Amino acid sequence: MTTLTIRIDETLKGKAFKQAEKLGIPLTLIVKNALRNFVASGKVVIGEPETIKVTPSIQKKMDKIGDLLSKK
Amino acid sequence: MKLIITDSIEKHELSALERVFSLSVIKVAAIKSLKGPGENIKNSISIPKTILRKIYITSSSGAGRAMFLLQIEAEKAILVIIRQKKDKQIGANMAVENPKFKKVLERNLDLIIRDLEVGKYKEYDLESQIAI
Repeated sequence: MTTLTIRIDETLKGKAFKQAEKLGIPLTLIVKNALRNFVASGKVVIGEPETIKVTPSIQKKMDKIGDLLSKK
Repeated sequence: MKLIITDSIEKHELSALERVFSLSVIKVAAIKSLKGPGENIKNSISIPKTILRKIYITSSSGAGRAMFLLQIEAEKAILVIIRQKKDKQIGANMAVENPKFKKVLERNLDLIIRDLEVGKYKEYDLESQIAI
């Protein structure tokens, strides 16, 4: 056996701890399961996309790109 | 659905990260960006033709952020920026309030315009990836 030390956001840790507590399981089990699943599947995690607010000058450039794409 | 990567973005953004984020991973991220939550679009008074979406990627080789410019009607995603999370100046804070990010974003948008105008880009069909 070995130890894995990871730095994570404090809020995330708190929320995860509470969620695990509700289910009556230790947080360690959640992390171990996530690692087992990753090793078994080899899949990569891709998060939820987030739309970015931009300035009018940036939007203008983006729309120019949009126009160029419409012509392709 | 299509993913477009222009030659300049391949050179400036992707070449250094080829071993960290494969093209397949970028394709899946592009699909998710195109299919992602539409609330922001629906709630807008005027529907923009293009939007920017940021997406988190975690692979066995490292964590990062990719940003795509989406052409909503044509369902096309153009890779604008891709950085590792450990890139503190840009990757860790992809928001227009970050001057360093804003500078790179504007530069990359200019490069994309130039590349598209002269046909220097590659287009990837994403339909075949949807089953993933």
